Amino acid sequence: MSTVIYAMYDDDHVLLDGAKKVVSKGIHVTDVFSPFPVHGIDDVIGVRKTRLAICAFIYGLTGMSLALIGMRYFMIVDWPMNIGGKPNFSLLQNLPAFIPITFEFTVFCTAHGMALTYMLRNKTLPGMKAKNPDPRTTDDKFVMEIHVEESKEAEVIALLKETGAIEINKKAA
Amino acid sequence: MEYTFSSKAKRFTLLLVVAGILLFGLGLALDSNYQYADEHSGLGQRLWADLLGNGFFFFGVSFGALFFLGLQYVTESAYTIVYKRILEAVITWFPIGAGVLLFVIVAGLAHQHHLYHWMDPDVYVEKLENGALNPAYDSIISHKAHYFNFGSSADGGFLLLRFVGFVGAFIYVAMKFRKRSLQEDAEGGTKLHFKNIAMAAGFLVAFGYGSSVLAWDLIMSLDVHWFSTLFGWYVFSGIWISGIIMTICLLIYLQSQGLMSWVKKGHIHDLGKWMFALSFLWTYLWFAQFMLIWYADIPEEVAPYVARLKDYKFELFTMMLVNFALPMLFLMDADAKKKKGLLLVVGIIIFISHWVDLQLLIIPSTMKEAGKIGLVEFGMFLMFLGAFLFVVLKALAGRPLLVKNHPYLEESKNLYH
Repeated sequence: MSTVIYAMYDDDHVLLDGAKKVVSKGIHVTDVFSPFPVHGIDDVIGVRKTRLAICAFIYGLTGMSLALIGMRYFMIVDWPMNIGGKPNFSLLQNLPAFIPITFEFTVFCTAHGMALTYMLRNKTLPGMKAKNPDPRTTDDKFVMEIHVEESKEAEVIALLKETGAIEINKKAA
Repeated sequence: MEYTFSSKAKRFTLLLVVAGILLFGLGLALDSNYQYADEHSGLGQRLWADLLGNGFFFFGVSFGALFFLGLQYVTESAYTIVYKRILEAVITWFPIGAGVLLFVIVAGLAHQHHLYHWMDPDVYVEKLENGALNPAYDSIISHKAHYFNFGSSADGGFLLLRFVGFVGAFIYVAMKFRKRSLQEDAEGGTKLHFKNIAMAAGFLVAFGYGSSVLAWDLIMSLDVHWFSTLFGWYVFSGIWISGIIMTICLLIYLQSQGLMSWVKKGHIHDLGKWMFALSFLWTYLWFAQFMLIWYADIPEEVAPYVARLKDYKFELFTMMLVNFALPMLFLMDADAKKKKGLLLVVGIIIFISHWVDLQLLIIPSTMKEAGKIGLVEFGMFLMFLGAFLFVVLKALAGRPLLVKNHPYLEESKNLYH
């Protein structure tokens, strides 16, 4: 049997120092809930490196290809238009004219794709039910989540109190 | 900790100069039967154009570093303080680079070369003494006479006044930054720091005008019939990134000597980000200038691009692709910007590529269709590089590598990343 312990802090620096202390004792911190990004906390609790950048690259590549394929169809294949005498029979020779739109569409796809992926992965899309352990973490409190064996529970709670936690809750995992 | 300019490093800078002279001589020998475009763009013209190109490039490297140093004061940034002494060393070349440029301008005004068409007094004379029309008369240049000259002939007075005024002010600022830095080490307190902020703010305003005006005067006026409104920023973005790359390379060199252990991964990462971001600034400006001129296709605007696309197409697009694609592909990843080896390799390649970019602004305008970027040009580049490194390393050895009483020193040392 293991328990989930929620230690609440009211200051991000106290939380950061607390997390360092807990981790140095060999206890794994599962997650930290915070109303704003706490600098350095991801290194301390050992969050895996985000793979959002890989997604962003794929979305960007998709946007770029879509823009180029689209413009090739609209402007070269389907209805070639003579704009200022620019070559309208070749995508490559007319490329400079297409670069601004390609750039914008790449940024568009990357930004929207990243935002949606981020919200989907965190389960925070509009209409999804919030999963944070305590609603106060969206206001001015910070919560550290730790999974421990029942036998070690008392020891960990004592340690957390020592680091300056203002409130400690637990529930069965 | 102090850097000592070892005899090994001295030999290296000397080696660069000697290699440069050898390549320069070899290039001259190989090109002894080279067919130049016409009698006005012969070998003499080529050497003057190279002097201007290399002089401006290394002037730009220290100018970029000076701008960056001023920027740190105005933005009250902490992250560069641990390697501020490198920036202070790079700017010591600034007066020398300015001297080379002044020499080129004065030699032109004394009709020792014909780089600048507007320096020819004939183009301002509409009618000859016998009342006939002057075939050399150029109405476009004549209308710009007061931009270059005091009178309506080719004295170049107004241009010289601008050059001496702006560059003189910038040299004053550079020397003041260097002097106050040592003074701050000795005195402490924040009085000098606030004085520096005020001076840097004034400097940045002057730089905003001065960098553009210098680019127009020295480079854009080679194509005197042509103008481009963003030319100044385009040249500026090139010198800024060259200054950053020089700083990174010197930093990596010093760390390889076991010095500057206080410069952490985070500081390197920040410089890598600058190199990455400025590559895009440069590409953006290059493309914005190219695309608008290409699209509008107005004869008086396209002339310089026609010349470059006709005879310098390979150089132009290779240089553009290297400056754009190399940083994008290799420095995109956050971890890549922290790797010193990668930064050094990419940095050196795009440093040379930005040098080619600057030569392509000068050589096609002065050498017409028969100009080339060959051993002569590269030899002179190496000579300048050797002299530049000698001056900069000597300046670096003259003072401690870490500032002492800068108010942001502790913050800079404990930079979070």
